[in-house]
Amino acid sequence: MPGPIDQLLRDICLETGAALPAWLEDDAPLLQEPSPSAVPDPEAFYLVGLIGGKDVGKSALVNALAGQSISQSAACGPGTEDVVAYCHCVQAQSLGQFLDCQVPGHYRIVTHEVPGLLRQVLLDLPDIDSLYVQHISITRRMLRHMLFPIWVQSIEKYADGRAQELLGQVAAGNAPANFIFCLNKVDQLPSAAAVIAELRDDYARRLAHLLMLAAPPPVWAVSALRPGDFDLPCLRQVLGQQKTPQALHESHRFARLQQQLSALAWLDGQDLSGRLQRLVRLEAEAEELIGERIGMPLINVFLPGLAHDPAHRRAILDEAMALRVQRWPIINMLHPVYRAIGALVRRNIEPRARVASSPGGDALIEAHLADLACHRAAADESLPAPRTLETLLQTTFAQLQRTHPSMSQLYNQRKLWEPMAAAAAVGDMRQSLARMLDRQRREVCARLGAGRGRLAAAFRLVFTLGALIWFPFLQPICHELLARAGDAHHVSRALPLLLVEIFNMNNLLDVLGFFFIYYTLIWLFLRWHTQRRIDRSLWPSSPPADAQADLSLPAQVADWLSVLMAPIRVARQRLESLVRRVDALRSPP
Amino acid sequence: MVHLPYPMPWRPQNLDAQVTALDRELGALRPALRSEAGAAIDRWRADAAALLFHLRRGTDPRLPPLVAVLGGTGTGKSTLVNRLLGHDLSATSIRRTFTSGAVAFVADASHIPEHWLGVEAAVAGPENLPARGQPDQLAIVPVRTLLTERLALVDTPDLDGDTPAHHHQADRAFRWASAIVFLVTPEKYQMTELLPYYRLAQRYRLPALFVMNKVEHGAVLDDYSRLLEQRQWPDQRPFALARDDAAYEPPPQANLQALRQALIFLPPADEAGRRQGLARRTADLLGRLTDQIVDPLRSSRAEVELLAAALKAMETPETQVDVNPLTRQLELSLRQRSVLYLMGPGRMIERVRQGPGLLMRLPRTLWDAIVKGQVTLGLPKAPSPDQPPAPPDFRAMLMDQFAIVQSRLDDALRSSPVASRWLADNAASYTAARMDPQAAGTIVDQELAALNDWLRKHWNATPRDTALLMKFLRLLPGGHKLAQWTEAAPYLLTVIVVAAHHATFGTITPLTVGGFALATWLTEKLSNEVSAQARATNRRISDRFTALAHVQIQRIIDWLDLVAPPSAALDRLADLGGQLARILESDL
Repeated sequence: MPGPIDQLLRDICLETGAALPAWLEDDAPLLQEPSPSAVPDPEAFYLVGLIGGKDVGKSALVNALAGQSISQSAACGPGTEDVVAYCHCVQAQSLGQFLDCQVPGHYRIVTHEVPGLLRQVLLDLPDIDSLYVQHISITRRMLRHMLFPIWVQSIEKYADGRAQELLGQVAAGNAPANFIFCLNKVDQLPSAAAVIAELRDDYARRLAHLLMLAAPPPVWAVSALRPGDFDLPCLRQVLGQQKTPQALHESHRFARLQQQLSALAWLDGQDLSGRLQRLVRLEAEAEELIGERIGMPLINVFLPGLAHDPAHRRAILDEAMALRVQRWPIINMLHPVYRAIGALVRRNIEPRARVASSPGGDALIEAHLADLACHRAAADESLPAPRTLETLLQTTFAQLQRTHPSMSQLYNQRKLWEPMAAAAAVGDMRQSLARMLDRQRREVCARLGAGRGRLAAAFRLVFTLGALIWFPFLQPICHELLARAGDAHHVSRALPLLLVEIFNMNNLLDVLGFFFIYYTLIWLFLRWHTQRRIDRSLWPSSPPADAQADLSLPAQVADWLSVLMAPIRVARQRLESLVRRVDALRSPP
Repeated sequence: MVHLPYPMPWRPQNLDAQVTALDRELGALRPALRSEAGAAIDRWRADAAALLFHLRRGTDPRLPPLVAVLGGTGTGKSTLVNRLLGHDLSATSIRRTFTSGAVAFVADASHIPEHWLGVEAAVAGPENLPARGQPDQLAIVPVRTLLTERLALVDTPDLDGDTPAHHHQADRAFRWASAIVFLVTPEKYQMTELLPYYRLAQRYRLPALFVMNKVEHGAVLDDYSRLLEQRQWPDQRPFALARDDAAYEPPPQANLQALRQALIFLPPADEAGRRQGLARRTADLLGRLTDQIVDPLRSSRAEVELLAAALKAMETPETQVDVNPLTRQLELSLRQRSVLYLMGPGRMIERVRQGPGLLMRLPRTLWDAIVKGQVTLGLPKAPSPDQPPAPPDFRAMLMDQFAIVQSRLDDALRSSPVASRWLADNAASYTAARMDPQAAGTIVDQELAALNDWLRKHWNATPRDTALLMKFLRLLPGGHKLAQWTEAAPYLLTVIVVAAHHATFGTITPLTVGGFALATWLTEKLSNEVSAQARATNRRISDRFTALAHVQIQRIIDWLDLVAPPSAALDRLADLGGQLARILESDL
């Protein structure tokens, strides 16, 4: 198997939990194909070997093909035990090295000097069906490198199960076009051509059935004992000249194609696209269900309630006001008084002041989750029955699990239908929202707390301390001076009178009353303005800019929901990439 | 203690009864079992039938021995049978794997016991000759020869061809036969498929003859007898049949004639040997019973127990159903009709509490009225009996809760690899074991119907405390008039109580007022039966839901029980096996 296909099959097995195909196991007699990009060495040898049962006449056939006795043909006992290689003397050394790697100590090389067979190596191999275990293991090892196996069976053994089993395994990695099938010992049949043809057809039919071929493959009916008769002369002619490099290249291509076909047949059996479709359906269903049952109540009920919670607003406002008022002289002294009065009033009349303005948002979120549970926040008919978020999570995922048992596999790390996991998930959301609320608060305070430069400071001074000097003192004096401009005598007399009038008790009371109203108005304006700015920055009427996006609570909730669905999504993406790779394999480059 | 002067008598009927009991036990287990364990049981029972046949046959010596010819494809089994019989009675072909079922050649069809091989037998008429064996069928060919007078010769399909069904037929013939002819050729005498049968024939003390067909020279015969010697058959001289065109002539003591003689005078197995063979067959069956049936089933059983324990330990979730919203209105309306409530401080406090709020909200309300054009008083709306707010969908809630229970059960099963395989195998019965969540919905339906019924009945009822009070008032002189003015009753009553108190105990202290308030408030609370009813309904729903969840768990456990037989059955099997083993030990 070429590397990428091998890797793909292994990846699929890892993903689906399927067993590796039998021919991908380590000791399978699968042809080891060089990668198609490798430059073939024109001088390299290729192997032609005889595979067959005990005593079907492999050695005799090798001798008949070679025209000389190169392999001992035994009538009984273990028979051929080692690999006998018949090659050109030029190749002897490299072949020896190769066989040393594959079957150390179990080979013998016979050389010839036929110029036409420079690269072809003919192998006689041990049997594949006897009680000698060593034989079959040697043959299996050699099959991994044999591009052209010759399958030899006798007229007695051609229907044997063992040989067909091995042929089936080899055929997963090599093209039937590269096989040669021989039916030996036809000389033992009654010498009628019809009988031979019948057996040959029967054998070919069985082979076609096994290899799933449209037409029965050609079968050479031969007799090693009578080399001159039947199909043996033709077979000798075929094997008597070596393959041209082009033919060899073609054979390699066929073998690779067959390996691809085997892989594809196996892949078809895996039903990857069916799996993917099921996952996609599951994802769509999960998205819909989670959106409807969890997302909607959260976005439509929980978040608005949370965002517009009076306690939350007041907490932010209080903090921002405290920061802002610090820079206003006089008003910063009055501010605690106003706050105390406000708190007193609020405590007595607000029926819903449940949440103290605690620094953390945790209690706030808790309260609103409880709201979600008893649906106090909104009596919207379209929403599902109220219940705690944990229960919502559990029921939603339980429903998904009911319809798609594969959920068990996908969520085995995080079983959201179990109370513990659901509580943990809700805890996650609560934490992230609490962090977000804190951040919002800090951000808003930082923005409002920043001063606006000297001009604003001067402005503030004029409006507070300036007013304190202007209204009671400067303004009456200036008025007096301007009203009686030029009359110095009058002025010198009126000023002390004015001073006395200014420090008159009635006047002081008036002034105090005026200042109380004046500063209260400023304070109220500041409060209103702060509130407005907070509202604008927290809940802008226009969609938030990119920099602001991560600050929004719905984005947090959407993030959390997508994390809930992550296992399905990740599995779907992995399977999609596998299907893409399979498709790439299917469509020829 | 009694010393027996001789060994206990051989009692095949003991073995017979025990094996039959085991067979029956397994037969009872079989229908519920999955494919894997079921197939093992089927194999075991098929072989047990063969054993029973051998056990019972010992009582009937008139039947001739049944000799099976066993060998690979193309070794010429049918040809050998024909040659032995002297006629072409068994169909032969140069094609391989031609014979697909057993064919028995006997002098009389009655010589083949009924249900031999455990398959149907059909007597082949002369028009069907030569007979060709068909799968899962025994063809009987009556033919009177010297050979068939003494024995029944059985032709079998091949042992090593490309059709696995043939191997089973041949294996079955081997198990039922009382003697074996092993047939090989020079090409096939080293094949691995025959090796276990050599061993078993020796172990079961089956008389065996070894024949090599298509011999070309004597050396291969020597090699064959060497091989047999390694395989526990020492000193065997295989019979030889030469290949048609070979020059080889087998020695007279090993040719076809000698084989026929050997078959005719096949020595009947001595009684001790037969017993030993039967005992070993039984012992083998016992071993298989333990290894292939009882042990795997026991391990499945252990898994089942583990899962069942886990399922039982699973706690059912809270129902989270609270019917209070349904009863709330009635509770309020009853309260407002209660004289004690009207007299008591509760109403007063409520009114007082609402006052400042209304006042403080006035600017906001005005603003809203002017800008938005809507007025919200910020007060709880007065409950109207005509249009109650939609109650939560309790039915869906409970069904969801039930779905959670099912999912958790399903997940518990799927997290065990063994159980997930069972799930894949028995998907249909598992689906049947899962209950419809509608059952949970039914609970809510029934309970809510009962509650609504109760509510309807009590909608216009007089609160208990008021009823009692009225009854009491009617006893007083002029009280019935008082009772008619129910509207004014609370105020009049207050006045009466205050006046009576003042007349009896003097001035009214805050303590008296407090005591009065507490007494009326408590009495009213306690006498309001609505909340008690709501609590009872909640409890009933919760109890019934828990019971339903337990039924579901039990059904899944029952399904698991089907997958693996209960321990009691396995213990019985093991027990029967143990008894069989003891009989084997004591008898032999």
